[in-house]
Amino acid sequence: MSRRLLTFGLPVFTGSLLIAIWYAVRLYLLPVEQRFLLPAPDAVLGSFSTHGAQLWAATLSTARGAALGFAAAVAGSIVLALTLSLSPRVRAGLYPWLMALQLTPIIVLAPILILWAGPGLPSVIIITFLISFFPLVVNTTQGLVATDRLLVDLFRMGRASTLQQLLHLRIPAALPYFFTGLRIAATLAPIGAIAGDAYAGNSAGGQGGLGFLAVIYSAQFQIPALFATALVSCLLGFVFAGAVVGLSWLVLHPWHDAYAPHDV
Amino acid sequence: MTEAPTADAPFVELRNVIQQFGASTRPPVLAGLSLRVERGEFVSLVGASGCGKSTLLRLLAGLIVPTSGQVLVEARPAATTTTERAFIFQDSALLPWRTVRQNSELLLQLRGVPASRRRESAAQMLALARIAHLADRHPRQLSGGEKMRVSLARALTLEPALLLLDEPFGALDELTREVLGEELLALRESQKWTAFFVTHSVAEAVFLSTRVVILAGGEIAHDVPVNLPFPRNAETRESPAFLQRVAEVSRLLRTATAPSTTA
Repeated sequence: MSRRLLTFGLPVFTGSLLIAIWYAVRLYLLPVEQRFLLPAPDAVLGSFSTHGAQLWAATLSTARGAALGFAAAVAGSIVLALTLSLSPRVRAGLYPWLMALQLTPIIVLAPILILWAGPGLPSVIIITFLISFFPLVVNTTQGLVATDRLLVDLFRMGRASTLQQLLHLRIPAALPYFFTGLRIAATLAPIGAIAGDAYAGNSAGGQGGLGFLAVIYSAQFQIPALFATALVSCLLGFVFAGAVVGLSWLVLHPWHDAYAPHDV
Repeated sequence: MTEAPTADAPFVELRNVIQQFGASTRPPVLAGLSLRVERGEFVSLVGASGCGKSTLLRLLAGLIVPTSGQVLVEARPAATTTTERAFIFQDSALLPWRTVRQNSELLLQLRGVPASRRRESAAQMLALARIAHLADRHPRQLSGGEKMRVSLARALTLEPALLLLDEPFGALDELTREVLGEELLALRESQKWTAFFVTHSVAEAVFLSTRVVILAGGEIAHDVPVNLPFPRNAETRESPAFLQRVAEVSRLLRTATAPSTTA
């Protein structure tokens, strides 16, 4: 009872406090002529009635790009992780280049990608893929390689084939690592899609995503709508992260120590 | 280099086995060890950490091949022989994502045994190990002793001729250890395997074995027969003959591993 109160009650309390501070700052700290820079929370909510349709369409567009890019990253990372787990030589040959790709800021790559893939959804997908790919590959590879040595011996004693060892040992043992990567990637995917939108969202005649909308609202000085866009983007992030946390629970909770009841 | 099995060949034979890991300047883990073990024997290996006990088991399992010398099981090299062997690891080595039933079926599954037959065999062994009621649990939900029983049941599904146990009860509390030891001997009554048992407990070694081999400096320091009658039980542990044997082996172990002899 008290634990439930803490998990649900405390965030509500801190959230209310922040909103109160928000109002206070606006009313008592900001000079009247600067108040437009920090619209009141009710004004932000109010902008949903004026810009709701636009925001909803943009959210769907971004969600689609994020989901497709994320799915591509998952599929691609599994293939690459399996390849990397083959031998230390393969890893030594490929890892530095993966690092190089990861360390190149997407902001710089985006214009190049748009030149290649054209504006709109394809570019958004590619940018999302690039930003969420790396943590998935690194974690999944680590999981496939770090199999308990005793268990490997057990399989060797059992005269297991390489395929049996992969299916019954390495892949299940890598699942917790994979889900760690998946959780990181799920938080990055909407960010990547929105960053991609901001550059590539203005597909000719088409509807841009949240990033594109943010660019437009900022150019038009529609500050409450800009705040509303941020709020919606945040919620989209929660949807992605929540889905992966749920999936992870579904797969791992029957056996993984991280989900063990405390009293065992 | 292998010869045909002959009628008088021992079940397990080690001939002048040298095992070297890493640079040849380091002292070998096994330095020319020879040992003959007949079918049905229960051999405990005791000695200080790093004396080569576990290496000996891994050689017999065929997980490693000797640097030189021969490790023969039924007159064939351990690495290539088809003699059914099962290895019991110290921490029970269960797959955490599988239930007890699925874990106990693993080795038969790897052999390609059909699902219905391996299920039947696993159920039988789980019953023998007295954990049939835990079949649907995951390892996370088991005590250390229960995990070791699963490990044992899994090994026995293979109907092994040779059982290799690497400090199987090392992480368990004293009472669980004794109970499992007694049950291991009971299982041996019905399934005539030969066992190599690595342990740090002299009392455990004497209680279980027909023979206690003391290793020191990569060689056999002492080879002590244990002629206590079977079946052995809680009463055995209190008998003067048992206590005397334990004291004797302890003394031999102490002198064998004293710094002056291992230098």
